[in-house]
Amino acid sequence: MATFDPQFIWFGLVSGSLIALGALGLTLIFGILDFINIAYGEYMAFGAFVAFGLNTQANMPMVVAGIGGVLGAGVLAIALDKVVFEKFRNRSAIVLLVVSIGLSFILRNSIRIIWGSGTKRFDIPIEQAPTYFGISILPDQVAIIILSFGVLALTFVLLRKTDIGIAMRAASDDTDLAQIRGVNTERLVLYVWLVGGLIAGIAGVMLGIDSVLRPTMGFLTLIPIFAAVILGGIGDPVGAVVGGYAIGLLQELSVVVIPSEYKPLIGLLVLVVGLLTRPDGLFGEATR
Amino acid sequence: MTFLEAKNLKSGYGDAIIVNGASLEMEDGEMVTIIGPNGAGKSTFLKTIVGLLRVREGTVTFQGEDVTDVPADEAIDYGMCFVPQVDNVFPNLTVMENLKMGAWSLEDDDVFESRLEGVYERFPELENRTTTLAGNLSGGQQQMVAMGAGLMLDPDLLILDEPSAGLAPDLVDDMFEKISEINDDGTSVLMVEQNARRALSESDRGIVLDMGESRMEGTGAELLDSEEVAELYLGT
Ligand SMILES: Nc1ncnc2c1ncn2[C@@H]1O[C@H](COP(=O)(O)OP(=O)(O)OP(=O)(O)O)[C@@H](O)[C@H]1O
Ligand SMILES: [Mg+2]
Repeated sequence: MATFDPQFIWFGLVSGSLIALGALGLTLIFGILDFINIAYGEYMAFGAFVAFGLNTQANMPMVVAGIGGVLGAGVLAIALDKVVFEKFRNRSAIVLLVVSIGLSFILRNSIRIIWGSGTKRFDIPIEQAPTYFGISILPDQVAIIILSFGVLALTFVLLRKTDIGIAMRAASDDTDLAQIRGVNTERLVLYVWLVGGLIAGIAGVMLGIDSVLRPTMGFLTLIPIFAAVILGGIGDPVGAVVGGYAIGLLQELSVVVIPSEYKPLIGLLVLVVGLLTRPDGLFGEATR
Repeated sequence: MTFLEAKNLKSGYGDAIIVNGASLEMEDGEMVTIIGPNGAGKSTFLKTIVGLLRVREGTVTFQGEDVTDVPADEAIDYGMCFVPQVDNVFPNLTVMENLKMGAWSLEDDDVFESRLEGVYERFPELENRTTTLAGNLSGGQQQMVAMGAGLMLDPDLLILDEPSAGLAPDLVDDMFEKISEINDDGTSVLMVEQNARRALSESDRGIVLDMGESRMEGTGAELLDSEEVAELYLGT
């Protein structure tokens, strides 16, 4: 246990940014396909490792490698829909859940085979953390917070202001009615996978920058992401983002009351309590 | 040339065949009502015509084109628009967004604006609710949004599944009036109605559907005068 330190709030904002991104991507996919994609964490890890390959093996600057990783995750999401999920489109949510668990296992181990199971780091300079008001703030962390915020804002502009985004929300409400309106929902699904995959890539690369890369990095982040999705009301993009920041802060601040080894359990705790008490999310359905 | 012809249609859900050989013909400009008991397969019949359900047997032709295997998202390009019985608005979209979705395949902004004006003229109540979520509207207002969205592409054929369901009695009259107006303005209308007497009296022709088959057809007046129809399908 530790005494309260404003530093925890800063850490909470950083991890909250990453969780919020993941939660948004996951909830978008849930909205249109009505299943929880357990392999989503591996999409994040894949994006991070592709960036790692480009950065340390092909010696590209981090920014270029990062963009490559993000694109890689987007392509992966579409490819896996075509090869795997499309075959199960009209099956129940349980079948799709089980399929995605299998996929998650395969992806995680593929990453292990390609890049090895050890801990990896991006080839970026280790910086001194300047201290402001007693909080040490790394430039990378500032970048993570700003970039996440930008991506979240951009996604909401897409969902609110563009025709394709409105169609995504429409199909998330009612796929049949979207078809009646003339929307080719199969094509729309690919756009949603692309957006969800790119977001996973961004979250994964930034997670790698924030700490280290491991094949399990995505899978382990999935629990707080789920917790955020559940907290925000499943399928509700605004709720997912708010839930993401809440879980991030809660996790980092929890060290004041519990030993820090138990920090990862916070997500699980929120998940269980949330499912038991507020299955529609903290804000109900109305914030969508 | 027959405007819309469905011939010996069979369709259903999984192994259950619900529409079992039903047929229908209508001419351009007509208003046709399908009546029949609950569970007769009326909604299923409409969903099959518009391509939401696969035609297992039979054919559908519309304005001279074979549309039997045309999926729902393309049916609109042929000029038919369907307003389902339930879930006919996107509840988490605003009224304006719902109307935009009605015009999804429309590229021209000027045409969009003029259609939007047309919808507001028909349903003035919608104009000052554009930013309200459709799910927060009353049943009557939701029905207006559903019909308005259906009219955004100015379809040749409007297919309505129980447009008066769940409306208060005075709104039912309004709704039938609107539908007659739409028909008078040149849009053919095919509808299913529980309010059978009222619907038949407004329609050019009626069709009785029972157990997935079309049992009888005639002008609205003929069906209303038939003792058999009265006894079996109209109640007292
Ligand atoms: N999505 C579905 N899946 C499986 N069975 C269905 C589905 N929708 C309807 N059915 C079944 O098909 C039969 C006909 O239903 P349908 O909705 O077409 O009847 P209807 O004539 O429109 O009835 P109502 O007057 O109640 O609207 C019913 O037995 C119903 O249980
Ligand atoms: Mg029905």
